[in-house]
Amino acid sequence: MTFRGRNLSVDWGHLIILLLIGGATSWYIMDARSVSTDTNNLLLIQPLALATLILIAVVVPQCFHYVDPLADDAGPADDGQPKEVKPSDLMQAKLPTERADVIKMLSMGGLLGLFVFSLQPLGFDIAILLFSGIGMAICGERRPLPLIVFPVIVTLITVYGFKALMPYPMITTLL
Amino acid sequence: MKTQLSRRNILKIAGGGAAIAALGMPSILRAQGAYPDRPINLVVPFATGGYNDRLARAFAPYLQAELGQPCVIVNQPGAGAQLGHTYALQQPMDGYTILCTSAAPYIPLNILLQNATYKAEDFHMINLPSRDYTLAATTSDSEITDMKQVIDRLKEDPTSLSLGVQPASADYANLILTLQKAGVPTDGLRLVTYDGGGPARNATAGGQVDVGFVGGEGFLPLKDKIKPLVMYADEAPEWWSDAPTLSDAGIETDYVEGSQRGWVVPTALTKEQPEIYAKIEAAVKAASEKPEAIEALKLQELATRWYGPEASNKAYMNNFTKMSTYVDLLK
Amino acid sequence: MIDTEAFMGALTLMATSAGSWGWIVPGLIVGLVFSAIPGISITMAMAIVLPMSLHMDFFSAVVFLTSVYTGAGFGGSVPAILMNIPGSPSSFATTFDGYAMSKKGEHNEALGYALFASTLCGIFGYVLLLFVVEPLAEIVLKIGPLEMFAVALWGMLLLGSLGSTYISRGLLAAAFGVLLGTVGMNTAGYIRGTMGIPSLLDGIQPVPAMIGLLAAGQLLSLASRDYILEAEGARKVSVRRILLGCWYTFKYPAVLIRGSIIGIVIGAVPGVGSSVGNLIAYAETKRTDKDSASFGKGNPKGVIAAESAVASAEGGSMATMLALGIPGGGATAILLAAFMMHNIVPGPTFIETQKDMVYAIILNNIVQAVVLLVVGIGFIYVAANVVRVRTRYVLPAILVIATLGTYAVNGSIAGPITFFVFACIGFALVRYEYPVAATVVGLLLGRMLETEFLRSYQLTGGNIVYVTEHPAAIAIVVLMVLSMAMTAWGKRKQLQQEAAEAEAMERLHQEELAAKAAHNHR
Repeated sequence: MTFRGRNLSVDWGHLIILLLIGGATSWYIMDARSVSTDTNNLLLIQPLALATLILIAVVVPQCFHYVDPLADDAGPADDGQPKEVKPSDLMQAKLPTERADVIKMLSMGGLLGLFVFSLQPLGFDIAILLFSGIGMAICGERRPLPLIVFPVIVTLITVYGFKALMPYPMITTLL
Repeated sequence: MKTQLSRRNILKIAGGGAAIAALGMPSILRAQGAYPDRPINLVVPFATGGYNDRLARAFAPYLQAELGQPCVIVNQPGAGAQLGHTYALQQPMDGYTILCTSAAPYIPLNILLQNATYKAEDFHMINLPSRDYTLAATTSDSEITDMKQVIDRLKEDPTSLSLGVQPASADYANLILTLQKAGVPTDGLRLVTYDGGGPARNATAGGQVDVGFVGGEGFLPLKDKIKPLVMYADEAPEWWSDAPTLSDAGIETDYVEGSQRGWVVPTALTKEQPEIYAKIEAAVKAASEKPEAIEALKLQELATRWYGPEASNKAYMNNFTKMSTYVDLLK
Repeated sequence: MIDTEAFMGALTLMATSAGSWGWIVPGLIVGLVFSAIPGISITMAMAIVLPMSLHMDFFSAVVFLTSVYTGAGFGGSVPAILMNIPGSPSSFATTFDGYAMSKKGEHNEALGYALFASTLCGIFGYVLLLFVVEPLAEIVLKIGPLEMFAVALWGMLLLGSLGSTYISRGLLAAAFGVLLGTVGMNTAGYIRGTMGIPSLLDGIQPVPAMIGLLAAGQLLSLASRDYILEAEGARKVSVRRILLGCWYTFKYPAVLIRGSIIGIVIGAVPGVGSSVGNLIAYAETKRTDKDSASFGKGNPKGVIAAESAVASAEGGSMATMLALGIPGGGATAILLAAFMMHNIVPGPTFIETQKDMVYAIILNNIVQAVVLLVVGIGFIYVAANVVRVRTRYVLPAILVIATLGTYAVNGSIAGPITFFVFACIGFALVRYEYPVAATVVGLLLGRMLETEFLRSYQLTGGNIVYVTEHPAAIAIVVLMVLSMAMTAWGKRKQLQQEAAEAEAMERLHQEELAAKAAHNHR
């Protein structure tokens, strides 16, 4: 994309996230206002929702970057000093960047989603068995024996363990 | 509404699936003996640690002795007991699910304010031993001496006193009914809202608010930190026999009973399985009247008194009717 | 202050009921195991073991239950440190530096620090309690919404220390978190943003949401690794290094004391517990530290600060229960029930008439804390072995446990669904460099912020004069501002000093060059 004669790169994913947050915030405050416009309802959330929307407006420009072809070539100045290795900061978690790693992570996340929604339809025991088996395969396990034995162990321990620990029932199909 | 219905359907489908799967199971092949032949779930629609949870846990040993099968406490908290009530209604009507709940005020509130999908008649009271009443109180060193004074000061200036109360509760209805009757304008009041009885009581005892309107029973441990002004009851309950009742305080007003807690089953059970229901009722009665049970529960300040289904259902329906009459006050 | 006669009575009581001491170790183990599983709360653990205590005599029952309580106070830090999963809101701040230390291969030390901070401050909390059990209870009742609002704001100050590249994104993440925290029925009875789903009436469940937000950034990315710790040498479990961590805890007395005091005071307030205390203690420690940039990257002081506040909060909430007879939270409600089962009703009369019993309970808790040291080392030795297992085994198992844990919070499928939805939100936030921790803090404190702000407004009727009648609230705010100003001042001085130093170095360098040049020239 070009803007004022310069190349402009747009971070569409980020823009969409901001729109989603903005949409959710707007919906939330409209929903709250439709319940009541009493101060007891809106005292904190109305100003805060407004602040959120303003902050989104402030962040939106960060989705756009000028791509300066000259800057790319220059590269970082090499001053002979060893580059400082930044220790990982947990406040600012980093995601893996390698393509294979990203795929592994996303498939694990997707599997987690399937797992969560299959707990009740399949029963906790079967869902856990399938999840731990497929999860192991995603993490790289290929040997058939561990792929069968380990999920069974996990299922038995977690189902019976949690049944003993929780004051709630757990829907199971086989156990 | 639509989402709720679809959720219920999903649950039903899920339940059906589980039942079909269960058909192939060896455990189901066992001959169905006489009720009860497996553990019974006591469903508490609140988190661990509250009154109903403690009542269920303390009563369970005596109830299971009568029923001859272990009783398992199942907590199903959330949405002002609505999730637990819904859960109980969705279980098979086989007598293996008994509710221990605060029928009043939660069932009426679920129905009147939270659009719950059930009706008051869907629940049948076996026994409601625990009765609680709104208590208006101040901190013990407050300069307020009686309820008349509170009303007079509010009449003069509705903002002169801060009033602590839970919104959408029987206590709130009682507060508004009293002030309306006395001719105090109710829209300029300094109402401080609390989302639980505990915080409201602590605020009253600590003098955070000038007057607190909240269920009286929970005040018992704080008895010498507060001054009771009026209890919204015709006669003082046995656990606080010297509390000033409405007539003692010289207050004339209609009122709503605070809480009715105890043992409840879905009405459908009494219709579909009358023999099983009769067994449950007999067991609750026998356990409630057992001297050891009365003794043990009394130590924990828990109620066991046997009122029976007839009196309990009458009290419950009365409360529901009154709550429905005053529902506009609660919104 | 301390009643010597009653104190001696307490010692006799302890000596004569030595049989009940045997319940300490089982109690601690039960507490450790339950609380190390995310989602299983202390309250749940105590409710489940309550029937067991029925058949014991009174002192044994109290020893057993309070041991569970003591053990549970520490157990939560184990998954927080090893896997970045805080089992409850009170171990959230422990993850910041605890997990960072683990990633550096210092998990042994981190657990040692946490254990020692936890036991030392548990002891400290109870010792303090021995002296102030009565006055503290009086003070607690006087803490009103205005004071609580100030405390919540103080908790929010943690945001200032979240190292984000973009301040605007940090603030946005926090504001969004607070808004999420206010969903549901507020304290005035208004229902917002529930989309008609009944389980949202109580708001978004904080524990599943918190685990979900954090899982996306850390847990799921383990899928591409072979072990939790990359370096093979780091995967050792060593008692020596655990003990080393324990020992080094003594190097930071100021951190311990500050954390304890924050923990006791906030823990004593009914209904708040330790979930805010750890955030405040962490933020204060980080802000006042000279090397604040190293926090969040594996600074042991962060672990110590967070754990000290959690452990001492237990003493605080026991004080409220003993002195007032009102439970500060679910766990003390169960304890209260156990007391009453044995015909003992805590409250002002109990404290006056049975002071020796009160002292005996407090003393026994001190003993428990000491025993926890030994039991705890054994427990973390076993638990730490998780880093030696390949992720292909550990990760699916952890995810199953986390999911079941989120189910265990409420016994409803809403928990796991919340977990997954927030994992997705967390993924988006991490992907675009938003500090997820800010959203978690907002989510944890949002409800408290709104509730207390609203009550303050309702009490004052919008009249600001009322504030002047509450010196405690003013004091908290003044303390907060003062502490911030002092750090800012200190930082400025530090910067000036550094600048001056740099200048001096530069000058020296120039002189050297000049001298060299002159030398060459000659």
